[in-house]
Amino acid sequence: MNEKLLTVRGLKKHFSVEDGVFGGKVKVVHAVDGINFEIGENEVLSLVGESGCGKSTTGRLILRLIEPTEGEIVFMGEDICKVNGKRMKELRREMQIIFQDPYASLNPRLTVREIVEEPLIVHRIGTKQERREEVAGLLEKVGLSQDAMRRYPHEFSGGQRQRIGVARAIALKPKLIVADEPVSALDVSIQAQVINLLKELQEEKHISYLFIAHDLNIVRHISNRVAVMYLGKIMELAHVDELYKRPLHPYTQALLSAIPVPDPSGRERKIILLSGDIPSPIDIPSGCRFHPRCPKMIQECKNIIPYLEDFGSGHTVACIRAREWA
Amino acid sequence: MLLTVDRLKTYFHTSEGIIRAVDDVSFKIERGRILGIVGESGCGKSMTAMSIMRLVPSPGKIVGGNINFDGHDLLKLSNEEIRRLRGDRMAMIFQDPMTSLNPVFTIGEQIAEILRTHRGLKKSAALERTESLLQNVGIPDPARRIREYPHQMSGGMRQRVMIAMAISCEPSLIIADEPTTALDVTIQAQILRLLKGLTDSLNTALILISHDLGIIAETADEVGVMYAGKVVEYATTKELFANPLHPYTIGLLESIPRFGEVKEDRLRTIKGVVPKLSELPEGCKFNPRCKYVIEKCNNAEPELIDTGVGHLVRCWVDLNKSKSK
Repeated sequence: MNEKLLTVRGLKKHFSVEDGVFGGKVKVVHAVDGINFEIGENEVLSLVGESGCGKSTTGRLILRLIEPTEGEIVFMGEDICKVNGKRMKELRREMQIIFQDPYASLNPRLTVREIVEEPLIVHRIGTKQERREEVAGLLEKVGLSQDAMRRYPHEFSGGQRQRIGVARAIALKPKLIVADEPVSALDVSIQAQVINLLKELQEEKHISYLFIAHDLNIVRHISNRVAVMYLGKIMELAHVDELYKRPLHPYTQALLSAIPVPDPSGRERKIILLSGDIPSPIDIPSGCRFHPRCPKMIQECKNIIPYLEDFGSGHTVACIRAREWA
Repeated sequence: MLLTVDRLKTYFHTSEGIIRAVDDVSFKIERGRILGIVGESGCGKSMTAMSIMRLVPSPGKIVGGNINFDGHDLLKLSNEEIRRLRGDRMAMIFQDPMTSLNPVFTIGEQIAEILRTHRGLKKSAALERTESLLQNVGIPDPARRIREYPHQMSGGMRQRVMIAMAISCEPSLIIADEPTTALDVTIQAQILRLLKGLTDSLNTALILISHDLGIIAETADEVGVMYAGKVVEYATTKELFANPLHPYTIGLLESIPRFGEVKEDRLRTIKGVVPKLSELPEGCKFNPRCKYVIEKCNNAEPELIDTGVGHLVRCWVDLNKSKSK
């Protein structure tokens, strides 16, 4: 068994929010509520789920952009929540992030060269001349022309901006990149370009991705393994082909059935319509947190909290009824 | 025919020159039918909708064409006359229900206002009708919900409220502009089903604007594909997806990940970027990105031609024949 690049154990993040006009009552948002997963070297793990499921919070926790309430994040053999600031800075070289919004994540006052060079300066890499050459190479790598260097972010389209973000993320040759909805702000014809770039870099530079997305077609294309989150917990985790061909959790089944298919003859297929809304992560339902919307709910689901059980070859599911149809 | 849009042109006069947001767009729609309009940002799909509603923001102007709606020449109506149609005979649903609802009024007050304005209902009668509307769009416990404010509801519920508002006067035309883009996929499935059901039960015409070919394929009867202010392809949904003829449509369909027997390693892409409307090329607007480009494409703009069976395409290259050879 190869050494895991990242191991997450019992990770929790609870936010306190004050309720009412004058504060007073404090409520707790269970954004991430006890999750475990691993990412191997050169592996793409996707986190999917609907808004409020905690997938973006998980991404930020892993980079320690926010501090966890509980749990361990072991990256390259070290628990990043326990290391000091100096060591953290060293570890950060190995972990980078690509954000969703290419309009908000680039400093409008810096030129593209300055944006891509900045991580190299922060980590004191190379001489000025060496850094210039490095930036030129990075821009070429992500498919931008050399004259992009002297220009500013506003001069670029969304897809090109995302390429700038990618160049910055790979500048330090990281081992892990958290890609938080990297294409959802882009036009359909541009999404495929950026996805291809990300995949190419992953294969060539052996980077692992934690890929956070809600587009299940793209996730299927890029991932090795997929974790489905709902209200702060992982409901199902499996190898990508296994998950799409044999989803075992009723939530995964509904989610996959709801993807619109660009083929009118697919209208005949059965869509599992879930009733109701996604509950607030403040008032988590008892038992299985999916039970109020679950088409397969039985009485026990209201009381028993399901744990992830192994259904073979790393396919784990948190549902007390899954054995019935597995 | 309920709605006939003929050679519609909506231009913006800006410091960067004339921006042809909608440039020579024509289509028709009958009651009970769903027309999908698909395209990327800036293709003019939303501006087409705004033109029909006569809500084009300044400095935009409808500079040419005709819009005939249920016997009315929409472009000749006075502001007062169009206001009477809007919300009553034709209604619109926007992408973001949070910004289209008024935050300081309850849901009930906002829907009742429409009924009082257009139908002259008394307050109590309007509220009663509002309750049954909320029931119709699948909002649980409507008696309690009508007293709530928009911020107290989830995105999906707010979009249901928007739909309830749109159908409050049983309009003959509803335009829904990216109605599910802000919603999660399981909620999106609910809303699309609702819209489809209402089109049937109220015999309403629905124009569904979306960037998502999946949504269009599942919902629309006919589809118009727009690029850079023009309709580049128009056909029944079945025909368009089975036999796409415009290189742009083909490119869009190919760039969606597919999962057949073998998983493709790379996605197929459309090269280049979505053009700015102020910097459009000569000839066919798609020519810099097109992989079938020929000399003629750089010089002359093709017309939207019927290839037979009501399948219209705006392209110099006949991809239909090259396929059958």
